[in-house]
Formats: sequence, structure tokens, C-alpha cells
Amino acid sequence: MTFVTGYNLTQFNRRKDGSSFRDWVSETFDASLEISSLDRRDIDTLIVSSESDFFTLQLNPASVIADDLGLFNIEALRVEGGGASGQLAVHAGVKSILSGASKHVAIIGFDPSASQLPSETIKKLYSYSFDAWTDGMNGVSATALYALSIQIFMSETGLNEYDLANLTINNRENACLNPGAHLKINHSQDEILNSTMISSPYRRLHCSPLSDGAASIILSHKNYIPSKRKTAPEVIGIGSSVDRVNLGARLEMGEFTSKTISMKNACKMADIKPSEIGLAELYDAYAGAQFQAIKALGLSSDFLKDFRNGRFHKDGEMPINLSGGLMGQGAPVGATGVGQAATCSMLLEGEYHDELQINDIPKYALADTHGGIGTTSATSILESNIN
Amino acid sequence: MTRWVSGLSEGKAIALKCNQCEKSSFPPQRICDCSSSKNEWIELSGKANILVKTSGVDGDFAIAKFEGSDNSAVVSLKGFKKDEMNGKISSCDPSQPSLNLIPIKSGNE
Repeated sequence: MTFVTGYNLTQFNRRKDGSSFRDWVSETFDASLEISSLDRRDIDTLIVSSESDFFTLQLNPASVIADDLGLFNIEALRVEGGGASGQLAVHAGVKSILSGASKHVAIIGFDPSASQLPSETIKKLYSYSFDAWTDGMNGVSATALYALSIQIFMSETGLNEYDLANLTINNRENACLNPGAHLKINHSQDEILNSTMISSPYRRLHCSPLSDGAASIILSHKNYIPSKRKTAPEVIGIGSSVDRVNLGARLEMGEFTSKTISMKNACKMADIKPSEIGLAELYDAYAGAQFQAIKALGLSSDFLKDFRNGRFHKDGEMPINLSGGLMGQGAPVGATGVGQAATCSMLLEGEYHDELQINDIPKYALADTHGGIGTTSATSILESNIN
Repeated sequence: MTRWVSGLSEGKAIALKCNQCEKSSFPPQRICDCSSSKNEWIELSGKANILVKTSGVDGDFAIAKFEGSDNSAVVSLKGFKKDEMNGKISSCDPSQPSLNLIPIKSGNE
């Protein structure tokens, strides 16, 4: 019922050209609109996603963006869920279409890296995306929280530091083939294992960068798909869930339980099983988080064996993070979830970057995002219409 | 959360005990896992066992289980050696309340 008729990601990097989020948003929307073959006057709802006004210094961004894009007199709103903001915005768009309230929805995610601020300030601000009254006040960083969780996961599953290094290498190798990626770097295992320890076991090279950038998709109701967009992929399932905010309050502190629930809901709506997913874009804020996601989403009955055997490699049976993921492509936080949906759409339509496009296009793709420490999970399943 | 915050400033571990299932939470959870909102404030001993630690450029933190609490807490570690796994809550600057753990040594138990 809900088709992705337009999609785009801008370059993700640290901008030094004086441009702002308003420029990146305009750029990505114009590109998506062109692919959709719609006119801007066809858009009846705008949904934007951005994690924090601290970085944009713009409250009520949806109204400003609607104005910048010439989207007059339409419904315009912002969705926020920490790192899950973008995927939650996609879900809001899907629901708007399914309810019959909208024919065409523009969804735009963005965030600046705020590199003009001291890194300690940025770290402090992001620590407030957990429980500000406990974690935020403690001064515990995002890296430290993820590190505590992955230590438990590693002790329970046998995942080791070499796996973390190899995943880092894999994702950044993919990024090298993605012209829009932030970190196009080929690392050696030694380089990774000897990089600065941020919060054990996470070293500097295990961490995704904060980036500048934006991403967009246009969703269209089945009855209003433009004639030139008959092969547009369809969003067939969505699901989201929250877990206890405090890591210590969870029964399984090493598991991303909210993802298991969001995936169950998305699969139920799509009427498919996790084993039918052919490719995925997952939220690898840190190297270990991708393993936690694979397990929680039920994408493998033995994730470690499958990873070590190359199943998730770009040439494997179920490629993960062909874009390079957050670790390679980069992470303008509000844009990541929208970018994942855009990437999946491009791959399912055969329109992705030449060196990363899969020739044997799978039927289903998965986009999975989360906010906090796997606290808010949002999962989308897309279906290809290329055949 | 006011009782929690004022407790931290005084170096006290103030938890919430559920009147329905009697589970205690620290940090406090307004609604218990059993979904009851009926609870009362209690003071724990302040002693905790560390389950897992992390250290590096971002500082020293841990997940610790406080005596009398049914959940665990993320704490900031102050002055722990690598193998030390037992601690107690310490008071903090009232203007910057935080959950700090110091090692248990003979004399400060």
C-alpha cells in the first residue's frame, strides 16, 4: 500500500563549505522529488527527523523546512526518538498513507555533527539521550554504555575482539565503494586492535563517526503512484518497541530485546519470516551493536558462525550494511534511519552504486534503527517490485 | 526522582519498593515490572557488587547490583583497582548529583 517513489542521501562527511542543514535538506528533497517524478505541490505531508535542537539551534524545524522547500499549507511535523528518529519518521509516513490521510509524504532526516562544539560538550549532550537523570548525571558516555552491554553479550556468545575488528574492516571496505560515505578507509586488524581504548572493549576505530548530512524518501499511496514509478519498492511491514531506559533494569543487559519485539511486529504486518530477508541495513553505532542487532532481529540461527563464514559480506548470501553502515557511511543521527530506508529502496530497485548493487536482487530488505542503548527500536521491511 | 537525587547528594541509596510484588528498584522505577504504581521509598545499605566494568578515555564505569535491589545500576567508579569488585555508594556534589561507587576497604564498610 505504501511505495517508496523517491529516495536520496547526500554526502555524509564533515562539511567545511559553510553549508547548513537547510542546504542539505533542500538538496536531498530536490533529488528525491526528481526521482519520484512528482511536483512539490503533490506532497501533502512533510515529516522531518532530527535528534537534537542543540545541534541545529532550530526549534520547530518542520515549519522552516516546509517553507524552504515550497511546501505550502501542508501538514508538517517532526518526529524524534534519539537515533531511531529517522526510522520512526518513516513509520509515521507509512501510517499517514495507510490511514488515508496522505497521498504523498516527504520524509527528510538530517543532523549536523556540530563539529564547532568541543567534543566533551557533544559527548555530554548525547549522554542525555539515555536517562538524563541517571546516566546523564553520572557522566557515562554512549560508548561506555554500549561497552558494558557488549561485554555481557561477548561473555554469553563467544564473540571476541577479532570479530569486532573484522566487522569494522568489513563495513569500512563497503564504505570505500560508496561515493557518499564519510569514512572510506581500509584498516588492518592490528591498527584497530591498537587504536585508543575509549571504553573497553570499544576502541576508537570501533566507533561510528558523527557526520553532517541529510537523507530523504517520498512515500506514495498505491492508488497515486506516478506512472513512471511502477517498479518502486513497497514498505510492507513496520514495527517499533521501547525497552527499559536504564541498562541495569533489563533482564538481559547484553541483548537488544526491543529489536526482537519490533521485528516480530514488522514481520507480522509483512507476513514474512526473518529468514526471508535478503539484505539489511542495521544500526552499527559501534561494531558490536551490529552483532547484537543480527541476533535480536533473528536474522541468523548462529550469527557468529554465519559472520565468520562470510554470509553477511557484500558477496555473501545476506549482505549487511552494503552502504558501509554508520561505521563507514557515517551518522548524521536524524538522517540515518531515513538513509537506511533509501538505501534499501535503491538496492531493491537496482539503482544503488555500481560496485555495491546486488545483481540477484532479493525480494525483501530490512532497515533497522535504534535510539539510546537499543532502547527505542524501529524496524521496516521493504519488498522489491522490480520483477 | 527528587528523593533519588537528594539521596545521592547525601551518599544514600534510596530505592523504590513495590507494594504489589515487593521487588525493589535502584535507580527507582516509578512503575514496577509487574505494572503496579503502588510503592514506597526505602533506604538500601549502599553496598554493591560490580558485575561488569569498562574503562578508557571516557572514564571508569560499571554495572553494579546494590544489596536489596532487584535490578542493577550503571555507576561511576571512583578509585577502583582492576580486580576490585565490591563497593559502596559515596556522596557527591549536590550541584552535580551522580551515582558514584567507591571501593570497600576495611574501615569504611
